[in-house]
Amino acid sequence: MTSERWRSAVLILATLTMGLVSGAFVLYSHTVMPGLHDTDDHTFVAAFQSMDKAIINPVFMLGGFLGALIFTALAVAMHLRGDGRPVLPWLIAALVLYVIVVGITFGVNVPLNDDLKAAGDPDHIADLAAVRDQFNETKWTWWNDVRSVLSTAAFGCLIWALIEHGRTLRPMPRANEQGSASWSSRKASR
Amino acid sequence: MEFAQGLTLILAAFAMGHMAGFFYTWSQNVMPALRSSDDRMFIAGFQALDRAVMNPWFMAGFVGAPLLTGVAALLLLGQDDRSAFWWAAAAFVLYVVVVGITRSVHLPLNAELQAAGDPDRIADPAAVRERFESRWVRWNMVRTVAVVGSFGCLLLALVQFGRAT
Repeated sequence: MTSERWRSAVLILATLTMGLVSGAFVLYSHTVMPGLHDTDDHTFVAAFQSMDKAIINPVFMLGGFLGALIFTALAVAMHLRGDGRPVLPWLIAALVLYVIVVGITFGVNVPLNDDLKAAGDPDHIADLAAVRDQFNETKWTWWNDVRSVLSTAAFGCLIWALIEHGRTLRPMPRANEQGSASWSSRKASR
Repeated sequence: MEFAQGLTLILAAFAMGHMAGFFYTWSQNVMPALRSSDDRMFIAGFQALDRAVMNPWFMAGFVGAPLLTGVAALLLLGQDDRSAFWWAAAAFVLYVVVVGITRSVHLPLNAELQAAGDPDRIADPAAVRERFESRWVRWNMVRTVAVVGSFGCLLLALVQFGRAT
């Protein structure tokens, strides 16, 4: 593959994984947390613990949470030079936004998740209400909403980057025109 | 015209990305988590999430994704280069499959599970779960593959749109 094609592939993978991971945060914001909020303490603790365990799987990590970071960073590295430059500011913006999301995840959400997991089997917890209280649903949800907004913004930057990337590609020559002539005239008219 | 084409295509990709993440998370996170719980927990957990999912954010994405994709495809018909149009049209068709599966498999199953009522009062929760889970999960996999495919098609449409403008 040419370097142009590699760039296209990595950029598409970055946008794909960013879309998936932002959709995941948004799902937690509008459905999972409000849904669990209405359940009793036992269901809440048990359900959250098992969701937290289940989300740490290779498909979700590579296809979503870490994949978005890796592919976006890779896309930045591949656009540092030459004709990748017009795309670069959007990629950097996406990367910065997503690095903040990862920071929030490890700074706020993961410690809360770990505390809840450390409480152990909900069937053997004496004071479920206290454990749920300590987990601090409000704090978790608020920061998750921030993750939803920031990752969606990063996703938007990558969508725009795809269009800008498309603009740097050579248009297909039309049947009735010389390909190179049409390309240079298009470039000049821009 | 180019502005309208670009705007609807961008919004369609936005909505589709979130729908893809939505179904992907159900298949990779929510259902595997519920699988490991006992029957009453499974029913209580699913019922709670199913009640919560009928919210304006979700509905906006679920309905907005095909509408925006359809309009984007129609507008892209106006381009000389049809590449972007074909990718957007493919995305639309794949999402029609997602809606079809949702209506014929998932919505009836969800309604049945809600109708079973309070899990503490269900005489045979294992039977209720049995009728529900494997079929729901299997078709959700199909739905997830179709919606991620649809999302991917829209990303390719964005590149082609950029190339042609």
